[in-house]
Amino acid sequence: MIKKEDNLKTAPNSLIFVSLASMYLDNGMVDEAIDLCKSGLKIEPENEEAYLILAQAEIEKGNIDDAQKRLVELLERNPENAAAKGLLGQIEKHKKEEEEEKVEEGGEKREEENAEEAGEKREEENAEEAGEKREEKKVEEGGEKREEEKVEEGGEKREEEKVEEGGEKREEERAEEREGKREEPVEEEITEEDKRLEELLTSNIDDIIRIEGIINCFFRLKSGRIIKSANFVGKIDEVLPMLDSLLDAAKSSSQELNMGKVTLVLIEIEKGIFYIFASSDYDCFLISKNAENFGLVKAILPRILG
Amino acid sequence: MIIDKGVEKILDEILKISKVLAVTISSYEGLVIFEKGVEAIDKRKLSVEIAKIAKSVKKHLPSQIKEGISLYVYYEKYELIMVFLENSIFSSLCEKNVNMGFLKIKMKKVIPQIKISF
Repeated sequence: MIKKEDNLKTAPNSLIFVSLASMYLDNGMVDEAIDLCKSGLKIEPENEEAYLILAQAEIEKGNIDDAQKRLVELLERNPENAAAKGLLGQIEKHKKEEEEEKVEEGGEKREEENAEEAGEKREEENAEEAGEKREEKKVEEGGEKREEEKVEEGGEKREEEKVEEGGEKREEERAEEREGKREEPVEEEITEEDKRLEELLTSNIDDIIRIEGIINCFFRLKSGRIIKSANFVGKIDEVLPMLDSLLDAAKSSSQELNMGKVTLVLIEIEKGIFYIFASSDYDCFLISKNAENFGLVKAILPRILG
Repeated sequence: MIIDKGVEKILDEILKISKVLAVTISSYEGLVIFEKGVEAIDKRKLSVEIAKIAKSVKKHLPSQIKEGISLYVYYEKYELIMVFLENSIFSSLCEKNVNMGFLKIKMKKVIPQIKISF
């Protein structure tokens, strides 16, 4: 995959649909990921990550040829894309292996047919094969021994290198300590209130994700601390800036127009829906496949969150 | 204000929906193109805030995405629905607990005509 930092440099405005497609793919929603990438590429045909996600989704679906086609298209646009090269290499290797297997299977079948036709010859062949196998075994055994010796030697060398590196590092650390340069790792302070909320919200996440259509859910406490489930997929920092910016603008408008506090924001973009439930202690962010569950989410979520 | 009579008729229909207080069509710069509804509401100020919200979203999206974005903001006292069009924002300000589903359908119905008008 393209490194996030690289992507931010090349396509700062394209993160939403790419992130959403990536989340779809991570959640096994392959068709949705394909649809979103295809429509996203119509708008932004130069988006390399969309090509990669699309290729991965096609692989997941078993459409290896389509995946290969997408990667070739991407490499025509940017022959330097390492991720595309790697994935294309894997596909080609896989295809070769499959072809070889087919050839081997075909060969075995032909051998069987030949053996049936020439029964006498077969015994001779078996004898020869047995001889060859014994030879191979000997060669393999010899090879294994040599491999073991090499591994042992390599292991010793690596151990020596590690000891040397460790020694050097300790020396550096001591030097830093003497000079007072070394920074102590800063431990994030978690307040009792944050701990209590974290426990409460973590236990609710699974219930929220069970709501039909919901792909992802995370919370942000007032301290800025993010609460998400252990098996959360996707990158929060790719969608949070937009949601945050939207929430801030909505809050600002509530003050300007005297409309009262913002309680809920829903934004429908392309094929993704983002819900933001704002409360005095935290903000709850939901990413949904569609807006059909809006009524359900609006009714159920306050109950889940208590 | 020059506006197609057919559009105005549909906007009037939207205003007839229970709890809908105002409908506005405004530019992304916060200027009012068309407005109708309860007089007590400062639609110019509303258009400015709507433009701010729209800008907060649009700056994070590819510039090619010019429309097809709907936004619903639920405040303690009011509810606001916005539909982003290519050159304008179509919005309705409502009292709490408006029939949002019905309003959404009615608003989407008038969008093609708004697009032609502007």
